[in-house]
Formats: sequence, C-alpha cells, structure tokens
Amino acid sequence: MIRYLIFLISISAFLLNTQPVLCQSTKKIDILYGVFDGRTPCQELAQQLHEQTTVECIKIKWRLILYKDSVTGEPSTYNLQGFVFKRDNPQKGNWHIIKGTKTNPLATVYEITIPGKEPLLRQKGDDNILFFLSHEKELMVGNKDFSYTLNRVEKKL
Amino acid sequence: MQNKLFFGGMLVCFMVTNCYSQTNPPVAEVFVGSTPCDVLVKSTLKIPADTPCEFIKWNLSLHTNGKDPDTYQLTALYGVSQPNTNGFIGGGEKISVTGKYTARNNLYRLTAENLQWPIFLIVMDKNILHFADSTKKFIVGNGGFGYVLNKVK
Repeated sequence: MIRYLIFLISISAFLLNTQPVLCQSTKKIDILYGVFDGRTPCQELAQQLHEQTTVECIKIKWRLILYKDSVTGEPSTYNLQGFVFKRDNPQKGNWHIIKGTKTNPLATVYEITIPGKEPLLRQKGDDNILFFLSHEKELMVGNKDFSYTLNRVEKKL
Repeated sequence: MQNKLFFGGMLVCFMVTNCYSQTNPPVAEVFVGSTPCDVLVKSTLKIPADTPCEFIKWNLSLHTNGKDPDTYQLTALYGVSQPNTNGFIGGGEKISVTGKYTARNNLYRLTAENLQWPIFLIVMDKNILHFADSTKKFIVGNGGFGYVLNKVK
C-alpha cells in the first residue's frame, strides 16, 4: 500500500513538473514574417486614411512589419510606421489574408485592421512585393517619382 | 469623264490618308516611374558597372496599333540624386531606346538593339507594370524605390 502511494506521488510530481514545459512548447508567440519598406505619394493616402495633411506633403516613407503565429503559421499582428503612425508610436493590430481584387479574383490580399477606420489593403505580388489597394480593391497608381509598393528588406528592427 | 472623276477622287483619298498618317502619331499608352539602379538594370541598359547611378526615371510609350510585335519608345534618365529633390545632380544622363514589344500572358517583353537583354514587365492591371527578371519573377526594390511603372492618365 505504501509502495503504491509512493508510486502515485512520484507520478503526480513528475506530471506537475513537466506540464509547464509541455504547455510552453505549444504556447503561441508572434514570429517575424517580414519587414516591408517603401515610399509612396502622400495626398491620396491622406484621403484614404481621413487624415489632414499639407499640400507640401509629396511622399510618405512606410515600414510595415508583419508577424505570424508560431504554431499555426497564420497571420497575427503587425506594426505600421509612416505618416501619422510615428516610429515611436506605431499603429499596431492584426492582419488577415483575404482573396480577390477588383480585377483579379485570385489575388492574395493582406487586410490590415485599424480600429475606427476601414482596413488597409495590400495585394501580395510575391513574397517580397506588396501593392497598395484602394478601398475599392483597385491597385493605386503612382507617379514619375513614387509608386504604391512596399518591398521586403533585410531585417532591420 | 467618269474615269477621271474616279481617279481624281482616289488621288484625294490617298493624299488625305497619307497626310493623316504622317501627322498623327501612333496611339500610345505612357507609363512612368522611378526605380533603383541595380546591377541587372544597369547591364540591361548597357550602363557601365562603375557609373554612379542611384536611381532611374523611366518614361515608356507603348504603341498600341494592334500589331504583334508592336513598337515602343523608352527613355531612362539616371544618375545620383540631388539632395532634397526628386531629381539628379547635374540633371542626370539620358538613354533613349526604340524597339519592339510583345504581350503574352500578362507579360510584356521589350527588345531593342541597344539593350543588352530584353526588359520584362509584368502587367498587374491596365495601370501598373512591374519589372521582372528573365525568369519572370518580380525584381525586388528597396526602401526608396520599387520596380514599378505607373500609367499616365
């Protein structure tokens, strides 16, 4: 009987000791998916974001950092810097993958949610290139100086 | 008399159409943009590798006369950026190219005698073209410029 109790206590102690490790191994964390930089025209995006700007604003420098879930590999959170989202106070939130643009129903689109605003939409060109979409899911057209794209850059966080 | 009128009429028609075709340039779609000046682009435009080149301003006119291949005109202005402007120190160097292009499966292929390699452009939609390499993959830009051309409206 005593032996049986000792065995039960040992098993319980072992399980109590190992459970946190087991839990830790399946704990979700955000891992880096990519850092995307680019410079775009200013005025149209100010309108899209319903933000005030000056006529002198001709370009915006962007950095979008995307994270994914370490367990599922699914999109998780983002960090957006540029324009009103200053580097020391970036916009943060979640992003999702949706399908289809106005001209390409098969296109992969990253939907970046911002509380109180319409989500920002970026069409995936490939793993390295993101194109800005309007709220109508059309590719935005730049000018001779700046275009509406983000390019993957080396990790520089 | 009827024959004279007929041939007279034909002559007038010929002169009018000939005159029309000389004074009206082919219909063209114009795309513009600024891109980095990486090794691939430099070699394509036959810019010597040691030439200082930070970015390139492109102006591409694609003639759309229903021919295959059709013709195009391209200018590439390149150099070192003038600080606090969108231009070049000294105005930059200009390359002009005239050649032919084909359109297949949402990909334009531009060739010309004074290009080292063909230029490939992925057609994203009617307004946006993106440079591709010879394997038809997107060329990746940097934090300053992407490899995009935008249609002029």
